[in-house]
Amino acid sequence: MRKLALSDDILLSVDKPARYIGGELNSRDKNLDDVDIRFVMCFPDVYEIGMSHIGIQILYDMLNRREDTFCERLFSPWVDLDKILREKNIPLFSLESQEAVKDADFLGITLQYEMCYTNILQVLELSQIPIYANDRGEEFPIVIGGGPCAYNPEPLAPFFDIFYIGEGEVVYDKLLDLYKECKKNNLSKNEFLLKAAQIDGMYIPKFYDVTYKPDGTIDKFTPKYDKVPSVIHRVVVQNMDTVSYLSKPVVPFIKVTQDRVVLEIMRGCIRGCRFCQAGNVYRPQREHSLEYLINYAKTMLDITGAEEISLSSLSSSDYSQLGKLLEFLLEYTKERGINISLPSLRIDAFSLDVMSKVQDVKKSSLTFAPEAGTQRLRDVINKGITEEDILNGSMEAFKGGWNKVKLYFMLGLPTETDEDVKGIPKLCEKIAKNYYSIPKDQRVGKISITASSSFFVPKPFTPFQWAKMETRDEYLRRAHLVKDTMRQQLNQKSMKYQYHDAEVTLLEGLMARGDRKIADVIVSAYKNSAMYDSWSDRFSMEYWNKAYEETGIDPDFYTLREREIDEVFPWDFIDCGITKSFLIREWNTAHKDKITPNCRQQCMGCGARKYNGGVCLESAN
Amino acid sequence: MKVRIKFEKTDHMRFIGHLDLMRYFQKAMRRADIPIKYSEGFSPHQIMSFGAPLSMGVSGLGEYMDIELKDESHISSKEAIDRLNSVMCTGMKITKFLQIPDDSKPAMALMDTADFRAEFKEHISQEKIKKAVDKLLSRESIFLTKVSKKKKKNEYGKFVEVETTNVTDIKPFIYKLEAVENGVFMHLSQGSTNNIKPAFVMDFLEEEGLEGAKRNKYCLYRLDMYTNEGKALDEYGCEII
Repeated sequence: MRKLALSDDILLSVDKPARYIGGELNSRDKNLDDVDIRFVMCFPDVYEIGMSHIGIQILYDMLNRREDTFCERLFSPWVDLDKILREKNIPLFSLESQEAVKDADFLGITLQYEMCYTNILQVLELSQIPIYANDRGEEFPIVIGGGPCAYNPEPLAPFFDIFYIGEGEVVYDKLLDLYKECKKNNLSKNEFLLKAAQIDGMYIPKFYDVTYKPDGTIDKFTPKYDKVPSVIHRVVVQNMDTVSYLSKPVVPFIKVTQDRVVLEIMRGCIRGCRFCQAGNVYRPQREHSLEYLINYAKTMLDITGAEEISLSSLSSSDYSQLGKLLEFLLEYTKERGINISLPSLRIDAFSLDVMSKVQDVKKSSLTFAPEAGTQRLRDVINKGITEEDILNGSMEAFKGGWNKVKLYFMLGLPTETDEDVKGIPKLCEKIAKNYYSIPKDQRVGKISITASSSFFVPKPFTPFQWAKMETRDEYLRRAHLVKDTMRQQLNQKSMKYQYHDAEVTLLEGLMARGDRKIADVIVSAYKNSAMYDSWSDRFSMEYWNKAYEETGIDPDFYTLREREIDEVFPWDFIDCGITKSFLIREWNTAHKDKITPNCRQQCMGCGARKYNGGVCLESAN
Repeated sequence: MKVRIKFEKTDHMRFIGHLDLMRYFQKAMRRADIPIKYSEGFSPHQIMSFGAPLSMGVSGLGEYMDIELKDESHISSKEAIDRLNSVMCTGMKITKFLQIPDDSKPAMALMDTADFRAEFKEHISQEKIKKAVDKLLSRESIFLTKVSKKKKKNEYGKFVEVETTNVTDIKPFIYKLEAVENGVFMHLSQGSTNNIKPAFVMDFLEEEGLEGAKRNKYCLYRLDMYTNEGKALDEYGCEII
């Protein structure tokens, strides 16, 4: 019998015990006595969310390929088990060996979104690991973080020993080899960290001093020792096909959020939307070859028995072999009763044809992400979609039988005016008008248009990293302006409007561009019972308002202030390819309402060329 | 062709619920490339039905599911068992793959009785167990009180929760109750009427002074299922060669 960390009693008293037992198909089992390194990989959210994430699966597969390493998984216990673990003083355990996390060599935590930061403290505390790196002795695991939020790791700096800046495939082997050697030679944690600082992409926060100016902005960010680099270079996979397959994805027992095989077709993006962090930090765009993906898809489907497959990338329409790939998938899945879940594609004749082959036209809806209501603002954010694209695309779809349209927008973008805000319902009206211009016998009933808006969060390493956010009240005013203007439209009965929570957005903005001082706020909010902040039914602004009071931190300093062009940012020590001079150029171009060509049209010298990969090598440029 | 599959669900799989078990097998059928038949219609699904669901926390050594194979296909029992077992996870094992008559009723409908074994986590002497069993069986009747909540319309036409108490004598439906090595063997009535849960019987044994019969002080196994003819569900099928 497999050992389980929790008694039957406990497992039968919590919701979905399968979250905590491991043992799924393709989960690995190794004897802890036979390995040198035990690496616990954590996604700090509930099992169903974490197991839907392909990055965790890739790293799990990759690390377990090493015979000397056992990589295990860990997710945030849901609140019911959280309570029991605290009451009974049971240390948090990994899924595979069901042994205490605190006895591992590494605890890796993926940082996918800002609102999971309090859950990181939960995981550490339940593991009975001191939350501050400085309080952790030799007996505790090395806590290492990575993922998109590691591009500004500073709010989390005191909790982590290392941040891994870049793509996981590149230097993990080096790091683990080094660790093994240090362990064999009985070197201290500190000696290991000093050596690790020599590896590209490894940021060890405690080796740096930060000083502040009287106005609260950063004065200097300097390494404490000579050997520690002052700039951390992001590590990047040059040729995507050299990365080995995710050979054995773990197949969960319970229904997870994304219960399907995910095929990563490329990394990076050519578009350069100015609000988008992923589109900037993951440059250059690098594709997998068609042959690679065909073999990959076959292997993954055969080995998991999944009934659905989806493609994953930014701007999937830009994948150069998309037509051939979909043609193969359509053929392969049809014979086997497997569904294809399409990514959001640019709406044109090609994508409509594919959509009609894989989806029930009556049920499925068209998705557009104009992000802004007017062409002027779309040019400001460099979103290369025009009103004509949307109107022509939707018209073509209406003729093919579609009658549901979803539109995604952002409010609070830099330079936004009330005219831009009102542009959102006006665009909806134009689409509706277009629809009703089709003769009655050629259209299918009423049109339904759903517009959703989030509030814009400025992110590090984007041309908008200098931008200010708005107050909660101003956000709500703009959302209501959309709503009220929508009610004045002729076809208002066909339209629906939804918008995100403004308070969560501001909190996200605080974390995204915060410095080391923000760590105190996170600890304080956590102690006030903030946890699972990304779950709207669990989130409460009270915990955070109390934390601001307790720490004396003024969130407005981080959110409502437009930055000076020469301000030192907390994340400036990271080199992620794109240069600051490029970002400044883009920030200025945005203010002239001008767009910038994409990577395939013209190289704009963003800085990612130095990685010598992907789209940068295409001869046309 | 209709096929009845017998399988074991043990170890940590005892915490996998019935719906998740179905999803598990749908994927397993594809992994093993079993030529299973799909339903017609817009969203085709595999033709697959299960015997009575196991309660969470209970292991099964003789579980059943019925499937249908595609008309033109052929696969031998041995081949199918080998292929399925090569794609199972720990705690799941296929033991039989048998052809059943086309007019066969589904396993769920056929089940009339089942064997269970409770195994005590801490050792208890045979003598002690036997004493409690004998005491319970010497009762003239064993009254089980069930309180159920149902929604009913009240005089104003609104739905309100009404508690109903039901007392039944379950003694006639305990067909066999025996002390075995550090455990208890039970043969109980199952199905839509007179479904006797083994945990109820254990509760009564606790009443008779058997400390180990307290819930969570024993592991429970469902051993096999039988029809009203007294035959195990796998006795109606034959091996495919």
